[in-house]
Amino acid sequence: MSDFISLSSLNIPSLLPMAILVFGALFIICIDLAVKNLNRSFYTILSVLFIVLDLGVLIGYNGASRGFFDTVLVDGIAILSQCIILIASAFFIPLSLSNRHFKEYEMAEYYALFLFMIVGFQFMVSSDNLIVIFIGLETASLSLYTLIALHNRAKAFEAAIKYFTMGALAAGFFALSSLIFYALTGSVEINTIEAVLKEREFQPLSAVLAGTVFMIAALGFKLSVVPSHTWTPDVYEGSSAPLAGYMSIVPKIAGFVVAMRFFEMLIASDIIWLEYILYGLVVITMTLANITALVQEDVKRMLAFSSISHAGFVLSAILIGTTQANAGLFLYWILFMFTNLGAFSMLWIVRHKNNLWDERYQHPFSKFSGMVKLMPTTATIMGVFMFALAGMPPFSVFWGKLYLISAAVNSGFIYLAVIMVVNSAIAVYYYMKLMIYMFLKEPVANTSAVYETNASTTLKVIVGFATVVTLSAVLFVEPILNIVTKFVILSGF
Amino acid sequence: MADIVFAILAIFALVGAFGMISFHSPIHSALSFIVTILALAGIFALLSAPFLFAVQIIVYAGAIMVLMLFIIMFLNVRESNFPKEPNKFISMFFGSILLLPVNIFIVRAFLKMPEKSMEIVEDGFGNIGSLSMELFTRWLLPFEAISILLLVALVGAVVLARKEES
Repeated sequence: MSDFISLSSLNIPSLLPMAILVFGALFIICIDLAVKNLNRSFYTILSVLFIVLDLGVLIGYNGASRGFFDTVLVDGIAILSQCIILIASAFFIPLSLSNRHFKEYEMAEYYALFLFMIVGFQFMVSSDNLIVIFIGLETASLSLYTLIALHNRAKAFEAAIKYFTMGALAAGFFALSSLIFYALTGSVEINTIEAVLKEREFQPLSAVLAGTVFMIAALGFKLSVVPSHTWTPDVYEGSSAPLAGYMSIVPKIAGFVVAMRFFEMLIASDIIWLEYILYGLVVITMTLANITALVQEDVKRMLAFSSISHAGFVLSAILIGTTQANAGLFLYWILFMFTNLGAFSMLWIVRHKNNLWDERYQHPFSKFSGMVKLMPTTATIMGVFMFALAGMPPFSVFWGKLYLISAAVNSGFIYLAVIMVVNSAIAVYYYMKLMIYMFLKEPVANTSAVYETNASTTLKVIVGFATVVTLSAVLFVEPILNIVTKFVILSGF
Repeated sequence: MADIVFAILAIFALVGAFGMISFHSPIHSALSFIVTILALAGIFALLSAPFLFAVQIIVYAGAIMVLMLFIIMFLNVRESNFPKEPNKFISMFFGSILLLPVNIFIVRAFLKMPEKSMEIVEDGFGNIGSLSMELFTRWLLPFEAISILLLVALVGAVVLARKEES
């Protein structure tokens, strides 16, 4: 390396999306130092403004794809996934403006940590350097643990500790996997690792296997793929509904992008056991999560298992590995994002500070029984989200499922496609269980007031927006798909 | 000569690690862990990485272990507070047998790594100058990203600690 480094070779604009949010987070902390007890709506608007600014910068980015000595990689899927992350965050942060006041939303640090978490995810997706990915992953995870623990319930702390311990184990696995690949190839860049391994025809196989297994364990934790999914329902149940919804979308898309970068090279190796491992993971994750969701008594836990099964469904895109499948992954996740945003916002609206319906659970199915007689609109909207999650046409998630299944058929994964269809059919059962409670049972509550304690105009607007997107998905599936496919092809996946 | 020193340091590291999990009192475990850390520092010195050697002693043996000892003493745990571990060594034995296949697999993977020269690198490899040159040019971004990570940890710890009082 020469002693002289030109400034333009650093490609500083590639760092701008992260820099804006770091600045935003520091700005919020500094404001809190100067002026105490500002209103939560001020912080919320400020955070959303920074995110929107960031989104603008990201969409307008037209520099080189690599920067900072190759540690940053802003390619198509990086931009696409950052857009998903930012849009999801811009919708989930305003959920803090609920009718009830919660202590965590009065703290400036909540918003600062939220922005830092987004920065972590951005680093994770816009790099193919294992060290930068690891730092991004840890930044995001540490912020997320703290945000969960801030919620003022005993279970929130339990959830945060559970998530933290499991997350620390996963971080260890990630580091071990990076170590093995570094020892194998002398590089921590995924594309260099790929080049070196290809040249050597993926020998020694046992070392590649060891590295892959640890990587699957680490990413599987973030994506809640079956052997390492056990934390999901407990953590979702303990954390507040907005954070649970956030967890079901944003960390997973970041994990999918890393998995896509990483496994694409391994799938290309034509090593048959790798395909079997991924195949097994996809099938077991989908099926087991679906079957466990059938017996859940709490809607939030049911949604947790459903998000595991959706993740398993989408993981099949990485197994298939064609451009169509990878584009399908992003399409699916964009549609799923709006639907899950709506479903978890609804849970947030019907939150009541006491467990009125069940000692153990906060949102048991019986809570929703006969809801249609008390609040027809609310019950109908919830029903729309359930139909969409179940994959009924013409609601949003159906198009994602259709596209992924057709990708599976096109590349010859007929059995996989059959399993995907069967699983979609199983999933209908537990979503319809909630529908039956809401529409066919007699109400348990006398008044609708207990369901509305947390409803505010902001929440209603967000739910309304999610409903409109879910209902009218058929109109813009085509344009989204075109954009997504363009970006995926641009980055060579 | 280097092999003999390595063997001695490795034995110290293993004995320290074994002591850490087998001692009953947390203080003894922590002190035993220091032996492992110092032995690892010695191995770093052997590999001509003087900076890592110094950092290992200052940060791990110095700062982190003192912090751990401080916390253990601060909590003031008594002998009666310790959990009874009647079958500790039997369960440790079976636990290690259970993990044996994984370990054999990893060792095999490392043994099959492509041949590299295992000679100790010449001077100037691991000293502060060359290390900081790498750290502040090629690895500048990860280095700065770690500062964000530490800031997050700091803010998170302060927020959670403050929550207790109100």
